[in-house]
Amino acid sequence: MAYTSLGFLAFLGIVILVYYLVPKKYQWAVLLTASYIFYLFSGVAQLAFILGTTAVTYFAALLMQKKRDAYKAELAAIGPEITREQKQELKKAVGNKIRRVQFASVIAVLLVLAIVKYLNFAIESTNTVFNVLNIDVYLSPVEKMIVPLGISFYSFQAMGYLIDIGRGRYAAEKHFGRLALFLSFFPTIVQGPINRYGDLGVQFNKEHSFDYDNLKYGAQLMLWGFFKKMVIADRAAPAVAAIFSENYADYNGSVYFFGMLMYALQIYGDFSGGIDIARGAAQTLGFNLPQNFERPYFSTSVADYWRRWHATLGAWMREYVFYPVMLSKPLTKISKALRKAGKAKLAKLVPSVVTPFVVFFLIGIWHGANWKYVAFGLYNATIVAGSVALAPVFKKTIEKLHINTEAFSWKLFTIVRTFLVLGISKILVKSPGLKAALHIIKSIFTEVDLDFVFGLDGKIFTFGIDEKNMFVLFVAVLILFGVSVLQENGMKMRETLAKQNIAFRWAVYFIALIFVLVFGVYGPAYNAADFIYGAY
Amino acid sequence: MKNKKLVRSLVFAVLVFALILTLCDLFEYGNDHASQRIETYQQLEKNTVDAVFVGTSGMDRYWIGPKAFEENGITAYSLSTEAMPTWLLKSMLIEATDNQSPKLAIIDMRSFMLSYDGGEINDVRSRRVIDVLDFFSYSRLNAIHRTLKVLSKWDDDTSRFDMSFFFSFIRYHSLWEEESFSFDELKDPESKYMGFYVHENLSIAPISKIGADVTTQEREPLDPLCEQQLYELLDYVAKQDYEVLFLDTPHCYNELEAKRMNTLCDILDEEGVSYFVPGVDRELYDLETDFYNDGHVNYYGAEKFTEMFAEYLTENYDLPDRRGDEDCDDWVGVYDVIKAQIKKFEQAAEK
Repeated sequence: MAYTSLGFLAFLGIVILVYYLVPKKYQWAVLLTASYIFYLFSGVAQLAFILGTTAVTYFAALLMQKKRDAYKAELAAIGPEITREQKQELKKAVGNKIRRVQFASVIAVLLVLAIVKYLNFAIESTNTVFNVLNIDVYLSPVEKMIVPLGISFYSFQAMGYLIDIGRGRYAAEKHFGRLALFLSFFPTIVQGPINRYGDLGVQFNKEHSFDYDNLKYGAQLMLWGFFKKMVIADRAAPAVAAIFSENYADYNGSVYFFGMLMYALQIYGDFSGGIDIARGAAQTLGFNLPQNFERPYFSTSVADYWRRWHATLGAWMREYVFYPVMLSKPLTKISKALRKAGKAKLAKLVPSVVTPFVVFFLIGIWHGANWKYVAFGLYNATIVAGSVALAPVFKKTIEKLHINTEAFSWKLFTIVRTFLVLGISKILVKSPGLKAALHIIKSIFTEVDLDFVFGLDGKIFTFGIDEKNMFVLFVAVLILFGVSVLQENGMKMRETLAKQNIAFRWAVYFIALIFVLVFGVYGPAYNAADFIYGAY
Repeated sequence: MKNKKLVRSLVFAVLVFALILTLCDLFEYGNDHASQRIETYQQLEKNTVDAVFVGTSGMDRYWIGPKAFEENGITAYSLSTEAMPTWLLKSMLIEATDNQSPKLAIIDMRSFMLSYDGGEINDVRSRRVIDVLDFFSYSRLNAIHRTLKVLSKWDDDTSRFDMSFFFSFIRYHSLWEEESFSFDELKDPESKYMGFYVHENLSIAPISKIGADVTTQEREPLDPLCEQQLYELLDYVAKQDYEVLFLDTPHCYNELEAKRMNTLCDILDEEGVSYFVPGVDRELYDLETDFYNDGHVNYYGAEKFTEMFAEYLTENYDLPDRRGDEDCDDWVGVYDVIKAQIKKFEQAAEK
């Protein structure tokens, strides 16, 4: 069930009604039932996967909790006469047990994810290697592999939860239904945001009374999401599909650049619009979900971008991959060895350069089972690691050139620079293959078609976005840009709007509604594209 | 405070609903004539129509209701849409009896000649009916229900578009993208011809291409869906107060149509239902001047058909002479308006 469908709105309306009408102690049950019904729309077989992951997560967390409780009980039983060595020994023993459970359960969750998403990719890659090495072996890919809806999202939430429980960050959830709800909450299941148990899970233990403002603000956020998804993303989509198609070789560098801009609009409108709908829907039920996008195209560096784009994935990676890798034994050993050898700078640099490659490799592969996603990850890693390694050089250059880094012009330059650098990574993802991506990137720098750029030959309107559509898209992007600038300067749009007179407020609501209803891409005349991130 | 918010929310919801209805009304698509035809019918004085035609363009292209009124005193009205699917004949009959109590329902036999093999065409044919019915009418709900039931046979995924049958705007909102789009063109024509189809080109055009005109004694089964719908319809009309006549207006048959027509007549004979298949009478019609294609007469052919069929109705059915009835003032003078309009088209064509 697509978030942009009327079916979803009707579904949400019924859930809201039932949710606030039932006794509060059963609210979790309403949400869990609704979430599983929502999930069932994607297929019965898919439900088995999420149930399996939930069961493994639940029992493993309880087991870890049991071991931790036993340790505490043993400490209490021995009493104050316990020696430090005894305590350390007990702690180490229980730590090992917990880590074993944690490792096994995380691997179990990861294994399911890996099999359904990456097995065929691994088989195809192996076949390629065999082919190159002239080994006469062919492994058959698994046909009709089911990729459960939102598996990357709920698997990451499950793994995060298991790691947090292993670390003793919070007590394991004893209520199976509430944990199941945390992993399947219907507004987040399709494309996130990726929630931490401490943020979302705990909210399921609270009772939620009907709140008019939550309903109002939630609906407003959803409307904004519909605008981004249906007016911007889906209107830009035909050009992206046409340019980054198998016929890509028919076009020149300027067309590719236009395609890159359209894809930047499409992917942002699609993903952030979907997240707004998800967050808005959750808010109508009284839940606060974390921000996942903070105007990423205003980023001044690639590292900044990854703090603003899909922020919950970035935070997850920081917490569960970046720091553990950075502080891992092998990297610590290398740093120590370098320090001993008198190379203090290098000792500091190595972990900062190596870790991004691990993190971005995972981010790349998370986006899809294809080498182009690996290339996308490694490209980002190279930029981030390179900027860390070359930071002193950049600093000196800026000083020598007397550049005022506080000036607006410098900020604007860094924003445009970051956008273009990231545009290349988007081409890596969107192109039909790596070879095509390299051709496209090269062409952008070598082929400039001024007639196309200035619309003189009218060719710009031949990629599924004619003059009328282009005008609508332009106006919509202007609105998005204006709102983003205001938000970037600290304005909270919904709160500001709430302070205005009712006539103005309602005029804004109705204009927005008409804009989405008339200029949104939806309905039977249009084969509604599923959210791009829904497949991840 | 709570009450104030509740009232506000309700007012807001009502306004949103009104907005959607307005948009539905504003973005109609290419069905102006049918739309105007139904709208006019709804506005007629209660119980003033004695016969209704339901079916395809084979009704409204042929029957000049105002002529039959002027010359025979019959009030017979075409409630037709292009290629009206068989499953919606019943819905249109419901519409026909909403404000009127016709004594005779004339059902188009052409609907049963069609093949329904799924796809977009069935969706479009159905929407032509659903979109012109009054938003809040029972006939519309019936039409939507029947359409979804039938369409689900072909497309498992129609459910995602179900709402677009209720709110046509979902289907047509992207009309603004069309090159020729303008709100003026979306308005219904102002002239009302009491169910007769008047078109600046087709009404006066000579035939563009003469097709086959097969006569055969062979039989070919009806499309299974048509047959099923036929029996359902016969069950339904058997319980109604009005008489029923199946009619096939004159046109050239292809081989399949001719064979199916024979089968349909067999079924109607078996069921004891009246039907009238006048065929293309070569003495009455000039194939080169009275048809605009091999499936439809133009205005000149319609004149001849109306004269002939009005006589048939007068002879075979007890329909009152409504001339002079004050409640039927809507019919008065419309035939002159039609003739004047046709004259204008002829003059324009000459220029």
